[in-house]
Amino acid sequence: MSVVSVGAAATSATENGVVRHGRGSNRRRRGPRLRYLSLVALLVLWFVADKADWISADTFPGPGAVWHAAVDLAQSGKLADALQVSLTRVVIGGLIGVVLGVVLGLLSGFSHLAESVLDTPLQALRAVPFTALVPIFILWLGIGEAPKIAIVAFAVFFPVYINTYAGIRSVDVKYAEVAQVYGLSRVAVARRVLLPGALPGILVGIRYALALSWISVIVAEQLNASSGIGFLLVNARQFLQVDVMFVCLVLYALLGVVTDLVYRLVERRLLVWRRGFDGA
Amino acid sequence: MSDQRAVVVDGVSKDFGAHRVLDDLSLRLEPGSFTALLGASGSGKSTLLRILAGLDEEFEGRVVVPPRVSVAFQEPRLLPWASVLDNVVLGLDKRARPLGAQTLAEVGLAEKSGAWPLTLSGGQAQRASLARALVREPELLLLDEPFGALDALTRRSMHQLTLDLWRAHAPTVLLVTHDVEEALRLADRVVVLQGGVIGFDAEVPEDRGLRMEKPAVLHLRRELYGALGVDVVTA
Ligand SMILES: Nc1ncnc2c1ncn2[C@@H]1O[C@H](COP(=O)(O)OP(=O)(O)OP(=O)(O)O)[C@@H](O)[C@H]1O
Ligand SMILES: [Mg+2]
Repeated sequence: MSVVSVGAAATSATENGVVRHGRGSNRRRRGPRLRYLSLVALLVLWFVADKADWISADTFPGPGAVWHAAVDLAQSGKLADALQVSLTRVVIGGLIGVVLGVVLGLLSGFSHLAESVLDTPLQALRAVPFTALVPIFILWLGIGEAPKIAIVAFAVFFPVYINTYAGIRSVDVKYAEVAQVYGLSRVAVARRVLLPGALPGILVGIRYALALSWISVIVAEQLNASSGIGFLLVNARQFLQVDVMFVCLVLYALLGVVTDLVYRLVERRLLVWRRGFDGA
Repeated sequence: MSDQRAVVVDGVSKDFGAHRVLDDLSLRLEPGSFTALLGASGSGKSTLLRILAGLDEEFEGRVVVPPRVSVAFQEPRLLPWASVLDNVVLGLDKRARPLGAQTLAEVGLAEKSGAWPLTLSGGQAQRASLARALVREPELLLLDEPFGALDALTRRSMHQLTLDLWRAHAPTVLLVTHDVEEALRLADRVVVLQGGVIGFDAEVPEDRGLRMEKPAVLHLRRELYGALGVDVVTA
């Protein structure tokens, strides 16, 4: 007989076999807390690096200087303006791209005819980086809002299209067979089986698209704009306002985090039926 | 009413590559009859059911089935993104929801009607799948081992439920099972699929409920085990 100690290891091998200890239910997840803790650690590191003069204020301002620059920008109203302009472009361009991506992805997924017409040209177009299109879009659409929105829509479209299409094709035929046996119409099969079955894939595409929407709007604004966060960054570079440049960088990071948070909330609501592995 | 609703399988052959699963198989199921289909694993029972359900059109020969066919698949196949009740009434009118809820109650899943299928146990999922097949009053009911994952007691009550529904609406039933006792208890005819054809075909004598101890049924049971290649000494 061997004695099993109740301790740190949840599983231990003894001569009698493998012993598993339950961890109890409703275990508090330490994931979220750790997530924020590592962010705070990074900030502290930044702070210390500044105080200890490991970084030079001319090229890498400390948190204090960046904070002051942010406050200045906020008080002058420039920050809110830039945010609003960029956000509008992201939302409009993103919506256009997501809707087009979902619709064409569904078409290619549902019908072999649509697939053969759409898919090859779209795959070819996908190889074109959206940055290369900025001058073309300016040429075609002028220098107003349209080219920026078009860039965002273009960048967002492809991940959504590809994942929607792949999502439809990955729906298990056994579910489609159930629908067929029970006499669902083609439309009903699409709505009740293919669309919900493809939803996890579609959401993966949208998640990529959200990240790309911010990247693409910044690129568009850096190359040609007189407003927006990207413009703020270019402008700051011209006047060597390193602290303002850092404000923009932090802002990007924050926008990315917030966008992802919103996405996670939506995803959790839409995919409640899933019982997948969500991390150890 | 009689002849049009009969199920006819006429010289059906089915190949998977070089492997011939059904080989010029013919079978006729009278309207309202209850037939049990037995056969070794891999003998082609599910294949035959798929052809009858219209899910496989790549076969030789001819089948005739009534318009309303209902299937309980070998795996439950509940749509994971629809609630249990939504699964049961899939493809039916909104007005069928109360009936769906009632059928769920009859299979003992009243409190699970709003649950997600992935949270059901194996036996619960199988009962929900059975409810989905039974709720729609089909003319042909195809059941592919629908009681496999159930404990003995639940299995008995699902047998009773299936018989009740059969008596009420008189669908033609084809029940695939590996369980000889179950076949003899429920069906009025047993057929065995072997070598790609119906190799054994017999009426089950005597009244349901009273029949299991009757000599004629015991004799048939022995014959069935023989046809399935099981040693009868202990069985
Ligand atoms: N899609 C397929 N592709 C290739 N072979 C298949 C396919 N479906 C079935 N088969 C083969 O056909 C044969 C019959 O399969 P089927 O599922 O009809 O057996 P079954 O009698 O239902 O068996 P079980 O009792 O184990 O469910 C098996 O040898 C199987 O491997
Ligand atoms: Mg089978």
